[in-house]
Amino acid sequence: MNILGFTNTNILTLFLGEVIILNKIAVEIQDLSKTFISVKKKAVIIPVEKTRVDALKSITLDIPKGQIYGLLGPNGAGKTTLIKCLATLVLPTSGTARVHGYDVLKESTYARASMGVCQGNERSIYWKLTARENIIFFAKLYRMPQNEAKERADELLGQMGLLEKADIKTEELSHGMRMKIVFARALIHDPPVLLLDEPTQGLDPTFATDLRQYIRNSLKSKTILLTTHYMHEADLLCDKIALINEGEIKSFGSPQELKEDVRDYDSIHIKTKGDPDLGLIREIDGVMSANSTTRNGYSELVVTAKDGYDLAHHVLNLIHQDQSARVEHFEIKEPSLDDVFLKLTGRRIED
Amino acid sequence: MMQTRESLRSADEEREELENGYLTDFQPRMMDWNASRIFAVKNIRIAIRYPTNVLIWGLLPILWLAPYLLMMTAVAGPGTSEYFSEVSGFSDFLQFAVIGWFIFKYIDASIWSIGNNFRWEQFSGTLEPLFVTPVPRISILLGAAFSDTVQTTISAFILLFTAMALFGVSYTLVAVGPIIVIMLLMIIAFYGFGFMLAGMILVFKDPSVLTELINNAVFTVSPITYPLQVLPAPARFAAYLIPSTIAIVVIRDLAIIGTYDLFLFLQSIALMCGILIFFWAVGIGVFNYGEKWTKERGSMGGF
Repeated sequence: MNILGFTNTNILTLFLGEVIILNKIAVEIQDLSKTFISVKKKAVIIPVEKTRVDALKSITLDIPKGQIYGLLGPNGAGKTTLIKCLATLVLPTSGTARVHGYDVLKESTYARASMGVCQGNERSIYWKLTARENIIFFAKLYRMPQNEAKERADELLGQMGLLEKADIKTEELSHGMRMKIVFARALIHDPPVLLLDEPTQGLDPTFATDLRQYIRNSLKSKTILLTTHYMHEADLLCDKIALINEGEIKSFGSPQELKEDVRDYDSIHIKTKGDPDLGLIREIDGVMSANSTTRNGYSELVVTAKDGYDLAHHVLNLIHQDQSARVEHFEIKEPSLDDVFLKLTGRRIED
Repeated sequence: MMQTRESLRSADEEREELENGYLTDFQPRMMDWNASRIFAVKNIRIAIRYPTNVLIWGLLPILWLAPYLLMMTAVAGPGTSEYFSEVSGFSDFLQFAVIGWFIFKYIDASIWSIGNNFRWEQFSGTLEPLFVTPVPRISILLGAAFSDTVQTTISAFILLFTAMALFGVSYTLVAVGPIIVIMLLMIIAFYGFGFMLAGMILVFKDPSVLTELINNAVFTVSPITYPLQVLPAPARFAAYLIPSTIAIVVIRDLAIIGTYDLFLFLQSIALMCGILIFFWAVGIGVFNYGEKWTKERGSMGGF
């Protein structure tokens, strides 16, 4: 036993525990900062003004294996810069990052082999090549033999619902289809880590829903870092969300935890013709408050409760039994991630 | 630490990793020849899908060369002039110029091709996706170079055969091997120059003024359509500093006369090898610097 009261077995267990935790981290970001300095020049070469932009300010984030983490923030928040640092396309000013255990600076080739990167840009494939040719080309860059590359391309195009378009030149496909090819390319070598930079940006709702469902159902074993400025997307897909603004993580947690930071209750909004009995509603078990405003014979009733969905049918039943009011409109409002972001930064995500 | 981590992996995790054979066997390579070939094939496939390229490969070169040949014929009469024979040592200036132009096609392509290819990838939005693959940069650069050499070969031979048919020139085929050796050394040496321009394109995005200047300067002082002897002394000195000059002089002798002094030939090979090493060292250095520069500024895919 040592002076701190630990036995050697205790120390070994602690050490192994820490190592096991480390081993389960697929993406480790430690104090990562990136400062861009743009220099305005006079007569092409004489620098006259330097502008410093801190795109990332000491970001620390660990993503365990098999988890989907989201970076949610408005344009210019630093989401893409962080993805590019991890993808080895931008050199960080300071700090470290490891992907699948590989340092993105010192072991960049291994890191690149371990990740698939999907940048939400339909131009990032060859428009003069067919969908299949595009996928096969990139598959071969990941050292796949021709037959295996073709099989993998067909498998992925099939999963994306594009197999019948496989031999059509990409320039003749729709924006959504091209984005699916860009997405499929990121999966070509079955990487354990995926960096998805706004994968559904500009997609019509059907294509966006398809992709989200694919991420949710078919990529369960992958570790994913997803950037988006769509709140519902982050809410739907992510195990944890980092709200990022001006290069800093402002808040971090599961979607539920983040929303609870703003308020830990829901509000039930009911529009009725007539005036419901507020006293009876307030007596329902679980109701935190009930208020209404009446105008031109219509009432706007707001009832708050811990779990609005659980309480809603009690309130509706009571109004139904109370002959003095009839429900015209009903809605439960949970706090949104946008509310969280607004509270933290004073601006909305889609600003 | 990594060893300890490895030994602590759970059975499930190890199984998961083993299923991904690619990662299990992955080792970085200094050079990936297969990737170069794949990149070159991709470029050629795309080039073929622009039908107007047929005109660029087949028609444009002869349209550029024909005015020179017609002007020569108009000034000196068909075939030759006494003064030309005296300064060049060759009897037919059409035969002299066509082979010079044939070689210049390769010089021109080698200067432009790799940089232009990177510019095209930048514009297309495909440069960043290429750079996130674990392929060595040199393999991508060489792939771009190979595809352009193939296209240039098609174009150069169309030019040669068309000019031979139109202007009635012919060449001896007794020294094809030495011609190929010198041509290859010259082309490979210029690849190094192309790497340098690709690095500059990453930084400056559009160095067309610089490449135009270099290209035209090389064209002006190289003995392509006229012998070196007609150049003023300083320009002649500058011509000998350009690696292609040696190649043009040796190849022209081999193609027209069919012989070349063995010692001078070996000396030329040694010189070309020296130039090749120099260009590659500078080219790769500049490219690596350009890549680092753009990664620091986050402007890799920007144009």
